[in-house]
Parts: sequence; C-alpha cells; structure tokens
Amino acid sequence: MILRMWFISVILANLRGRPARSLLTLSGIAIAVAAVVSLLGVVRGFERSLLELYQGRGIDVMVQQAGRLQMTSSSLPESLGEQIAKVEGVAAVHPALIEVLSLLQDDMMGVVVQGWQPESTAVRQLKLAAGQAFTDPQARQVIVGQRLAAAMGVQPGASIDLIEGEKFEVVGVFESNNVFDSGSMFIPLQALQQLMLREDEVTMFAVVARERDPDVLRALAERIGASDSKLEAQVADEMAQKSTEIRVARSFAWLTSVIAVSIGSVGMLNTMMMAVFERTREIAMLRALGWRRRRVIAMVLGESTLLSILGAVIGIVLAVVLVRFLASLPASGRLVEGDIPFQIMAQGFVLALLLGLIGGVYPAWSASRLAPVEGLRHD
Amino acid sequence: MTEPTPAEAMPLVEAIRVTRHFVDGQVTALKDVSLTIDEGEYVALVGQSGCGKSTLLNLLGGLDSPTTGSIRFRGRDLADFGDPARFRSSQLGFVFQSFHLISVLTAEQNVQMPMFETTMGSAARKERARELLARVGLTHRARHRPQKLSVGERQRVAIARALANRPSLLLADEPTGNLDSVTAESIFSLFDSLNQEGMTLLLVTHDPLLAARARRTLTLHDGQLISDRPNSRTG
Repeated sequence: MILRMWFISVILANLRGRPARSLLTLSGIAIAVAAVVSLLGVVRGFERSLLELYQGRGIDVMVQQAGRLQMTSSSLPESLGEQIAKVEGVAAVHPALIEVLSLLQDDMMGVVVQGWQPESTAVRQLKLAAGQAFTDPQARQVIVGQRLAAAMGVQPGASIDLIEGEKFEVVGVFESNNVFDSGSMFIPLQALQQLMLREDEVTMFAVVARERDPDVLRALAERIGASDSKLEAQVADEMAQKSTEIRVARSFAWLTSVIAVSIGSVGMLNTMMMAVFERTREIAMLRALGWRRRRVIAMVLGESTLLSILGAVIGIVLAVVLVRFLASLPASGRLVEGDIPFQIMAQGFVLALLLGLIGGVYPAWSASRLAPVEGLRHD
Repeated sequence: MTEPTPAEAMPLVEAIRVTRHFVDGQVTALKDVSLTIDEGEYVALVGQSGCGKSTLLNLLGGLDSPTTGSIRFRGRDLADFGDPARFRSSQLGFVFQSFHLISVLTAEQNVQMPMFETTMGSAARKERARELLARVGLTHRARHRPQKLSVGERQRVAIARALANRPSLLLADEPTGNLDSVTAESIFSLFDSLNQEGMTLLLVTHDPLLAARARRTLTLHDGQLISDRPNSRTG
C-alpha cells in the first residue's frame, strides 16, 4: 500500500509548505463544487417540490391543453370537465386556473395564483396555520402560503391588491413543506376567472383515479387524451420529470456545472503542473534516492486528491450555506428549498475527486517520467 | 594463502569501456573509461571542470546510461536491473553538492525520504532517522527545516539521508564544494569514519584536501581516465 499514513504526512507537508498555491487551488475547487452542488440542489429541490405538489393533493392525472409546453399557457373550456368525468376509471375531476401575477404594490414578481373550487381536494387539504377557509365560492378571498405571506408581510384580515384596484381579503395562511405551495396563493376558481376575464376557462383538470397502479394510471391518461383532441393527459408523478421548466432548469444546471468543472480542471491542472515544475529538482532528487515512478505518481496524485477532498468539503458547506441563504430571502425563498439532497452532495464530492484526478494525472505522469540527471540540473 | 573465490574477488562496481556521448554524439563526455571499485574502498575522483567526473558518477549510480560499454554492480549489468530506482534505493547513497533537501520538510523527515521505498514502519523509520541524525551530530536539529540550518548542517542531513537504507556504496558529488574549510573538515572526518566502518565511498571533488583523505585517486582528463593511483597517506 503506497498511501500509508506516513506518506500522507509528506503529502500534507508539501501542501502546507506552499500555502498560497494550495489555498488558491482549494478555493478554485471549492467554488466549482459549490456552484455545481447548489445549482443541482436547487433544481432537484424544484423537481421534488413539483412532484410532491401533485402527490400531496391526491391528484393522479393532470389534463391540460394539447401542444402547450407550459401549463400556464394552456386554456380549456371548464365544461370539458364533465366529459373527462365520464372516462372509465375517473373518480373525480377538479378544474383549476393557474396564473402567474406580478404584485407591483409589494414588489413581488411571478407569484403563482391558483384558482380551485373551494370544495376541491386541493383546497380541502390545505393545512391552515392562521385564519379560515373560503366562505363563498365567488368571494374575493385569498389563502396565502406561509413563505409568501412572510415575504409580503400579510396576515389574515389584510387586503391584497392583485391587479390594480382589485382588492382581495386574506382569510387564511396555510403551511406547507412544499416550496411551490408555500410561495403561492389560493383563490376560489370563479373569483380568479372573473378577475382574469377568463370566465368558464381553466388551465387544467386534476383527475382523481379509481385505481392508483402506475400502469392503470398511464392507461387512464391515454384514454383521457384519446377522448378529445384538445386534451393532453399525463400521470402526475411523471409530469414533474417531463415539465419544461424542470428540463430547462436541469439543462441549465448541468451546462453551468460542466463550465464550472472545466474551469476547476484547468485550475487544478495548472496548479499541479506548476507544482511539478517548481519541484523538478526535488522530484529528480527523490528519483535519484530510489523513489520508483509509481511513488512519484502517488505523491503528486495524492496532493491533487487531498486538495480535491478538502475543496469538496468546503464547497459542499458553501453550497449548503448559499442555498439556505437563498431560501431565507423574500425574493428567492418562494422558489428555493433550504435543503440539498444527500445524493447531490455525494455527486459534488465525486466530482471534486474527478477534478483532482483529471488535474493530477498528467502532471503526475510527467513528474514520473523526469530523468533524474536532467532534473537535478534544473534551475 | 588460498586464492579468493570468484564471488570474493568480484568488484563492488565496475565500468567496462564506458563511453558517453551527448547532443546526438557531438559531445563526448567520457571515452572508453574502465575502472573497478572494491568493497570497502575510499576513492576520490578528480579532474578539471567539465572533464566528465559527474557524468561518470551518474553512470556508476544508475542515474544515466552509457552510450557504449557497461556498468556492473557486483557483477550484474545495471542495464539488466528492471527498475534502476530499486537498485539505487537498496544499494546506493547519494550526496550532492547543493544538498537537495526538501525545504518544506524537517531534517528528520528529509532523512526518512529514502526509507519510503523500504518496508520499514513509521516507528522504525523515525528511530532510524534519529539514529542517523545522532550519527552526524544533529539530534538537536531534527525538527528544524533546512532554512534554519547552517550549510554544514544541511550537508550533514544530506549525508544522514544518503545512509538511510544502509547503502553498499556512497556516491558524493563535490560534497564540500559549498562549505568553508572548518565545516568541510567535519565532513571529511565523517567520511573517514564511515569508511573505517566498512562503507565504500566514491567522492567527486575539486578539493585536494578531500582527495588526499581517500585511499585511492582516479583522475579524469577530457573524458579519459588518465591516472589511477593509491594515495600515499594511507597507501
């Protein structure tokens, strides 16, 4: 075993002996890992929240207008709900109008406003932290998610200007672990339809199935889709994965990660090449003293790997702090979950190790090929 | 008196018609050099700058390969050693003019470096390093880095490092070249005592005083061995 404890002490001494260079490399890796872990963590949280959003409401199949990439651009007549209810296997159908509004008065951009019938499962399952449920299907009332309420500074009894001059009364505040739900508000469907001038119009139908077997649900979605060319139905669990927003966010996160990793690799390669170059005579001397090539490789790779491990730990801690900070901000807290899944942290750690290997392999190989006689003459 | 057996008669190291060219054959550093060094000898290799002394030392130490001819160690051609590093680790100790100590390691850690290629455990390695530092009179400097040591102390650490794996042959390239006369004398004494303990030494030197301490002097001129004589002091 080449990497015995005492050998690690030499590697540590080499890193400690060149503190400026070690710290710079460490920073580069830590920033790359922090970028990757926080981005992927945010996207994964986003994805998980979206999935839980549907599962938590007891919704099995989501139906929207065919050919629409985004749910908010979908538009269907509310009357189609009766047709969907007749499809074999459907237990209940809940129409919903989802809108994204900017509340200029509170300087809140992109607030999700969900219009549901007061008797729908989605509204009945809301866990009220304060206030009460809707009193009237047409009332200008709103139940606000806790994160949004905190960001807007509203409590039951307050009044919100949804669109200029259109006031809604906050009747309740609900709590939810789901970042989307908690950052959104609920309004009775009819009231929202009137407000948006979209009477008898909905963006989607939430279908509750009689059976919840995945194959049965897929077959049900197909039957609903086949029942009308305007309809496109998807099993709710699969919808999160297929969501355009998620796919764009995931692609963006991976693209950014690739850039971060590339920069990290070049940084590590540069550092380790410099380390080898600066220590040409030292490495040549070690070879002269009888160090075999593989030990020289182990030393250089050991240094890059140790830097990577430390960089990974620092990067992951940075990512956790950053994501928690983002989750605590009013502007971003409605969209960002505070926790990064362990799996993403593990991916970040593996990534850092790869950085160490990629950045260390060539310098290590190059060092091991050094002819002792040439190296000892090096200035 | 009985004749020595072939094994007993075998020199420790020998150069057989060794030639070394550089720059695609345009420079001849060594030309047809042959010599033998037996176990326990104390040999000085002298000559003017650029005469090929260091080249010959590098070839004898397996750091370089001859263009023609061969180097044998206990009868075995160095070219036959699969990995010359293993040979150097187990059989040779090197002392360089500029010490080549690792600046970020302590004296004790520097001495331990060659032992990484042995099976010695951490405790044994430390003990051996301390023993060697005591041998060169530097017990009190074990935890100091090279920058904190005087040049003489650095060379002593380098010698202790060269002795780490109990080499059969100690090769030193201008070991007193950077030292004042008083410090050089302490290094001469150290070499003397090592040789008295049975170690074979080959020193490349410009220093006539150090050369005179050896038992035999080889003289190179323009890459050729022009003289091989025992020293009168010990002769």
